[in-house]
Amino acid sequence: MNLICKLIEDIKSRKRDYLLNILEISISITISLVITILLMVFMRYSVETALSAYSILFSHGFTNIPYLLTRSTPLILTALAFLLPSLTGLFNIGGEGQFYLGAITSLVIAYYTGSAILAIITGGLAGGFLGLLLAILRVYKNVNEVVSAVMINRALYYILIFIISTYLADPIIPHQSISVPRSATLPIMHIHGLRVNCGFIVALLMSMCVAYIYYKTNLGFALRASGLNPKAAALAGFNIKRLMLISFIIGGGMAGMGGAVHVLSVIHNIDVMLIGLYGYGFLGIGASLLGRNNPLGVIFSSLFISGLIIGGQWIEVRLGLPHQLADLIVGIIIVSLAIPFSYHYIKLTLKRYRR
Amino acid sequence: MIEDIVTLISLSLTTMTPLLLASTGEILTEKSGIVNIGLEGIMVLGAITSAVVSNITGNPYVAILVAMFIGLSIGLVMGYLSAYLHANQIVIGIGINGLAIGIATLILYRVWGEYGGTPTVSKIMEIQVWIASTILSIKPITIGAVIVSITSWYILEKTNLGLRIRACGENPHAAEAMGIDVNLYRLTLTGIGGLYTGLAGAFMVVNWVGFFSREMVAGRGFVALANVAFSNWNPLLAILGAFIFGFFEAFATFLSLKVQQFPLPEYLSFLRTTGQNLFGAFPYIATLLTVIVIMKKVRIPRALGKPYVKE
Amino acid sequence: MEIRPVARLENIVKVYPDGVKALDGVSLEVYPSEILGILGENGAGKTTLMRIFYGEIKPTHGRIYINDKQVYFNGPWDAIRHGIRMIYQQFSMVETFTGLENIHLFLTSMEKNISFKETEKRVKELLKSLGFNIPINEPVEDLPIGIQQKLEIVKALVSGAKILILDEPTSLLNPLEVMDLFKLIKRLKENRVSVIFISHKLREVKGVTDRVVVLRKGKVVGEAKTSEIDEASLARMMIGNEVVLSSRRVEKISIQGEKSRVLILENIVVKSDREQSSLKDLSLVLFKGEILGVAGIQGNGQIELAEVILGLRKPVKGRIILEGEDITNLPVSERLKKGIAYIPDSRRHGLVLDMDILENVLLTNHMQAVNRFGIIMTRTINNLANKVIKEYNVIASSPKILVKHLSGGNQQRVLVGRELVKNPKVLIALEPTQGLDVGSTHYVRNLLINHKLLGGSVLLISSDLEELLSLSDRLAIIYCGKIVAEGLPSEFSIEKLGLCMGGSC
Repeated sequence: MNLICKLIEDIKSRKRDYLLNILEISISITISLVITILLMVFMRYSVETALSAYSILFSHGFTNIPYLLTRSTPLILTALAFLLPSLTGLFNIGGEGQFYLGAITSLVIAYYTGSAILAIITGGLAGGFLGLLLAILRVYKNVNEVVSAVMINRALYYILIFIISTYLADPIIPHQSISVPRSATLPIMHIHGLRVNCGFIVALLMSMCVAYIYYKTNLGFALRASGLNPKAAALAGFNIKRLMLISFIIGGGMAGMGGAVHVLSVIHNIDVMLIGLYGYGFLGIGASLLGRNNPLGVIFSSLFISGLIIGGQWIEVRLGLPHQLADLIVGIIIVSLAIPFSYHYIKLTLKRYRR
Repeated sequence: MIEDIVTLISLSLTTMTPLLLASTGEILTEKSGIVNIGLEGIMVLGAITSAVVSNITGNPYVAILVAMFIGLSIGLVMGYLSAYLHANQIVIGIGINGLAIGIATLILYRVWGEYGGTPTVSKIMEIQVWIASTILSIKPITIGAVIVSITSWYILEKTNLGLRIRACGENPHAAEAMGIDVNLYRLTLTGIGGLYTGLAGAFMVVNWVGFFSREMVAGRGFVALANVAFSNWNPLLAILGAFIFGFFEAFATFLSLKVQQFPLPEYLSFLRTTGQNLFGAFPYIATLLTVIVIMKKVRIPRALGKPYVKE
Repeated sequence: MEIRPVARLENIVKVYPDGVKALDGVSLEVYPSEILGILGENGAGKTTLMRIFYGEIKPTHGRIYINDKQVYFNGPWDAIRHGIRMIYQQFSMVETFTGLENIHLFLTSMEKNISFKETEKRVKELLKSLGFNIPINEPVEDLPIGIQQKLEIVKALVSGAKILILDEPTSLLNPLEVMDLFKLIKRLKENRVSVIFISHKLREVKGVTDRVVVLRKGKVVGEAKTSEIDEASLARMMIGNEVVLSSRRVEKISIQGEKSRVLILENIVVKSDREQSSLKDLSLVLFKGEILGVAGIQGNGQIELAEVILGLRKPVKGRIILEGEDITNLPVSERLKKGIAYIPDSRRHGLVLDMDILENVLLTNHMQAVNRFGIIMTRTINNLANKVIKEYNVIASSPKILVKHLSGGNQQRVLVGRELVKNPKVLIALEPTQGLDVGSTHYVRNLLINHKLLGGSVLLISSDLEELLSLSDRLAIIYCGKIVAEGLPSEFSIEKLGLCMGGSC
């Protein structure tokens, strides 16, 4: 009870900030939907096609709850992967590569040990290692972390294809890796009559862990302070370099775990073109931004973006339009979220015109 | 032996062109203080635009112009958001990269009904020089790219305009006090950077492979960013850098073909099949290592990436 | 023949949107080849008047005439086109460019196609006619402040300045550089340039101007030929009644020998981006239960001194010893634990405005409020935050209020309170009362005195001489990164202070 009172008091003092955030999110989603329609019309799609695409998107994207939860699981984790380093001012674009590495590591460990827990842990470690690499390059060698991340992502893509097709190929089924043994798969559980994939539970747990760190520990406090005012954080004795490294380790670990969980609970093997793993890194960035870089907020934004992606798949099935439509919407959301205080700016321009 | 060298140089000149164009454009943008990591997306859009226009009009030159126009427009939008609305420049770039694939795929489907790539479109002629029974092909846009780089260097370092541009990137408050409209400069130069990058995308379709495929840009936008830092924001060095990075790619392709021809010991035979993927990874790793080695000695424009907020 | 004024301000009135009347009918004339001084305290309206003259803001009423023709300024460039130039306290040059490039940059805004060679020629000719030389081919950031200021003046002259406005030009200069500046200003007279010299420093106004106009509360209260008036009269006009020209406090005799040394700095060398502020072989002793004042003109190493004690900067050479323990290599967090506290000169640097009071208190108290697992102990920090609010009179209903919603004075109380609540051994206070209202200023100063009386030590680094003289038990003067003088406040006359702050003692 006391906890809830405190929470309410917390929210009250930050009421204005929370409302502002919600407003910004709504504005960017709306802008994105509108611009997408305009673009489609510009590309000579008929307006009816566009509108029916939207109706399918929203009617089918969010209705299959178990599938929605399953799809959003890896997204929550890759969102956390982007979130933590962003607090220190750095951008973890390497989520994609960390995801892949975590997936393949967990596959191998699961195959040889049959233990899901071991697989998830090693997947996380692999991802964390990759994240640490990016951070070291940035902190000590001043290499821009975006460039190094993309280079590593792309190189890793090819290297992993090579490893899978050469060493981990399934002897019977072509174009596919060995499969996760039964003992190591993550089961589907039944909670209140709902079929929930165990992986989603893992993602929720991780999100809550990160939230706990964020709010209740010195580390989280240091991260938040560094993001808001690096000079003040330095006066407090917080070492920004150390924070950058730690945030990338934990962040990379989250993405690695995302890959592990996805392999263990959903796809159970990795196809030779890595199609089953593709894209979660980038969407995670969108989910993190849409969740306003808040560990609990990313749960909701991941659900939303997953709904968009699922809707996109339905659009492709029903109308034949490429599912990249959903990617487009997410991309525009990201761009519009890049504009700070868009609400303030609108208010100011209105004031200026009134004079 | 000579044939191999000629082939390598020929291929390197080609692979270096989109890198050089995008790098030069980005150098101009960054010298004014804006960082644009959406180069990849702009290249994709330039490529798909040139494919569509070349297909519709049958004229590759018009396709190039339209692609440049598209690049310019996107650059101007990004410049406006970054300079006047103080948006987070990195996040905008991420967004542009994401939505570019979305738009390209949608266009692809609309025009051709395909999801992966287009059929061939009209191309520009290339200059072919015979050397020792191999062709050294020089594409006209390659020459154009080098000229553009040299011109950009001259403008930046030797003219009044260049001094004013550089002031925007070093100390925008001082530049404003000296009578320079910093935001206008930043807007314009981001647009110009987009224009060059759009041309880079168009080059790939209309002067190189002759068709558009969804994965064709393959991270070149980011290699261009690496080249910007590698060249210490100097367009002349960017020519060298683009050649080096282009060479990595050319060499990887070259090697992957060579292993098919040469006799290999048993344990290396995988290089002919699944190992081909390793050649794909090579350019990226080589680029990354080069950047790591070189990063210590460069000098970044002081105000790069920070929004200029008038007090 | 009557000499017409080159510029005339007629009945300038400026009322700000919030109702404050900054100027109430000020009329002013500027004659060719004269050095006009504008004297006044903070808030007298000097800066507002000049900003109007320079085109930065528009007057509510009143007219401006240049060469007897009425003009309307819509922005600084209108004024620039009429030959008016303003030299600010914070210079507006691109630090990474050379002096010549900066001047050229400015000229390209006026003559688009001017060549670099042409600029170079003009600058060299001007320097020759003025009779001195300054390095024009070095990056501006490598030059001392006095030279940078000269470059600004050269920049103004080369571009055809007829009226030069200098706003408190000596605030960043040492006495030698001040004399150099005055020499230059007098040369300008010979080149038919008028100079407006804005200041609150009586001695300087008396030393360099031909004519003085005194402003008080937005009105002209006096005007005279400088040679026909004395400092006391000027001071009277400026403040309005008899003023005491110096403030001393009742001396406290402190017996050093008995006291223990809390903090020792031995031969500290710290590299900074500016030559002037790099610490060079600096040694200092702070005793228990005293306030050691460090006086000096801003930019002589004060920030570096504070930061090296806190641990933000690492000394290249030298040692720092806290109560007998060598802390030279300890990180900031360890030093905070050992009893060093820091009040930075800017609330923006010290507080996280988007966080609440609780979290800001936690910022420098996290060592006490975090257990060994790294988890924040909510009850401990809650109590601490409430203690700060109560004991330091922060007007806030709860510690959960965001700091950005507090007034400036309250923010400073949080900033000071969260340090004092730890009862630190060494409190470094950098410009603790800068920009505060009178009430808060007195309150903070009393807090510092109380801390000393309770046995703590304060290193008071300030540019406010009155504050230093009235609070310090001992005084040290920093110049160019060294302590050049040390002693009891009573041992320092105004002249000695000035000379030492200028490096000449």
